[in-house]
Amino acid sequence: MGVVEAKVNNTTVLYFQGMGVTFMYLGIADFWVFLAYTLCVSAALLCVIYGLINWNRNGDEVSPESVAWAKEEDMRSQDL
Amino acid sequence: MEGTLFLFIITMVYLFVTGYLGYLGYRNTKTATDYMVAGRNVHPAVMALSYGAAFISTSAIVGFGGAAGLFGMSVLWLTVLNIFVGIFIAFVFIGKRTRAMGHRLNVHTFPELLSRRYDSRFLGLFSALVIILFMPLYTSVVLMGAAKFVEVRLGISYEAALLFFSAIVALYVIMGGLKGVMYADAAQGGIMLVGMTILLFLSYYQLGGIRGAHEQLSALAPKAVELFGAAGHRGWTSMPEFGSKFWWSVVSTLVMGVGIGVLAQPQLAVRFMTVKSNVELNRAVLVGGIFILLMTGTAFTVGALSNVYFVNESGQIAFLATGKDIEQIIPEYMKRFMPFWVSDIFFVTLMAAAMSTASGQFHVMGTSAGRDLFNAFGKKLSGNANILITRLGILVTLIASVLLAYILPVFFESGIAIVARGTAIFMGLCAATFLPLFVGGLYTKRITRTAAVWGALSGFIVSLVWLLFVHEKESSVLLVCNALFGRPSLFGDARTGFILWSEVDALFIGLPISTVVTILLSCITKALPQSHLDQCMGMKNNRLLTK
Repeated sequence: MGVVEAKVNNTTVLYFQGMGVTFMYLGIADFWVFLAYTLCVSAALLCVIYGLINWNRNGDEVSPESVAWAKEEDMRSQDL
Repeated sequence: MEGTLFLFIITMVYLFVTGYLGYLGYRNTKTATDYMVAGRNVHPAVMALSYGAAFISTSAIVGFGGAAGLFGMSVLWLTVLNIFVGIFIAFVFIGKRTRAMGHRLNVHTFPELLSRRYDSRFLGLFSALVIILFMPLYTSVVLMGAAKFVEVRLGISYEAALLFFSAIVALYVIMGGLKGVMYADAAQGGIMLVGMTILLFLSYYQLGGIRGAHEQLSALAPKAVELFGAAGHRGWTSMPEFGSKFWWSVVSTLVMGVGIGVLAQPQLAVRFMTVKSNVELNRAVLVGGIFILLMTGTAFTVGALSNVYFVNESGQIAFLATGKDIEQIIPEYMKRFMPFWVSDIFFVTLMAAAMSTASGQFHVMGTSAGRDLFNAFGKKLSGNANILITRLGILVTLIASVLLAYILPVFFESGIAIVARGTAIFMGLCAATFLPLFVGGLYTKRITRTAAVWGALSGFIVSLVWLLFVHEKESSVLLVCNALFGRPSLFGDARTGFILWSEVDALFIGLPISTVVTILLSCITKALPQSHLDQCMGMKNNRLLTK
């Protein structure tokens, strides 16, 4: 993935050249930083999609163990 | 004057709202039992915001935002890990099993979880000691990050700012913030969300939008190369040169140390247990992903973009314009280039970030000092004695954290990103020590008690030795290597291929070693009794494994 430099309105603009196509990635000079930038948004999107798909999955029954745990947790919280 | 009045008013409003929410939570006794038994649900946004507020601190915003001011947008890889590892993996693959096992074993703290899972008092004692001895380092940099902002915003000395801020946090903790009332934490998360969104929008807007801002930052690359080219800097929108000092600092310490380290954070692991069911964890992933994107994504992007602002104003890059004090980059940026009201909302944002994180940390340190330490010795304390020891533990760790925050800037030379490194050291140490046995213990019955103990010990010892004798940023300050061998790092500038040993973070060495030790010893030592394993993993899991 190569980087091509060009001047647009006195500002240096960087392009990525690869796979026969030239891209400009939001003014970011390095493909790996651009990848990080897009992966941040993609990872957040993954979280959103996962949350929506599994919104009601796995059930919300409360086990007796969880109830016992909660009672003990409350007792300890009162200590603090 | 007008600015100071506004700051005073919104600070008071914030403190009042936080106090009121804490009081409401206390009055309405929305306790764990209420959530589990009375059918009340914690709204997923509340759960995610409270987790996020504990996760993201002033360290992430001021410390790592400042580090991005020096290293550039390459630090955004940490945001990728924060979201993918810290939220997605943590909630989906760690959280659900932690919650299930925690409830089955009726454990309430991280040391208790390890101790019961491996039926080992030593692991309980050891993990409590690691928390008590090393977490104050993390807490101190959280306080430091906020104090640096107060110093610049109010124009007072760092020492006075630290005292002022520590007093607010201590008051919050003493007045009940320690209970970690979920709604107060979530409100703090909400404030952080608003503050950071305004900051991101304005920072891009004033530079002509996303692309325009990045292009201006890319155009500054020659300045970065001129100043730090020898260390591997290639501009603020580029990765540092592969294998260079800067590359190792960014990739091994800042990105991996914190990105991976978050999985074995004692104060975050226990939060999963407070959730009623897996449904809430699924839903919290949605909110958490967006929250972290707006927190660290904003801090790291704005930190890097601040260079454009500083160069346009003074001709100097952010690092030089702030006297090589990395932690002052974000505060100075806010003061010089943002309207006063944005700067003041940001101040409240930082208070919220520091309070929510610090209160969680003090909770963990206090209970480690009280219940965990004494339980490990097989002593059951009476109710009153336990409360006293816990409170004493909180007081001692609070004082230790404040003292460290005073001392650290004296010992570390300027320009070393103390806040970011302090965070990375603690998280890396936790990961190297606990990650294999914690995650392994959730997923497999095969890890033996001996393997868990020696895995933890090997990861901890190797990491400490690496910090003391090899990783130069720390070893040169800790002076042990110099006293024994007459040089700051045993490896100096030695390289093996692209590996520059003195820059490789302790996590890179400690975690693989603890993982290998845990696996190898599990193959050759005696397994825990089947009945104990069934109790830990549950029968459903047992059936799955034996199929």
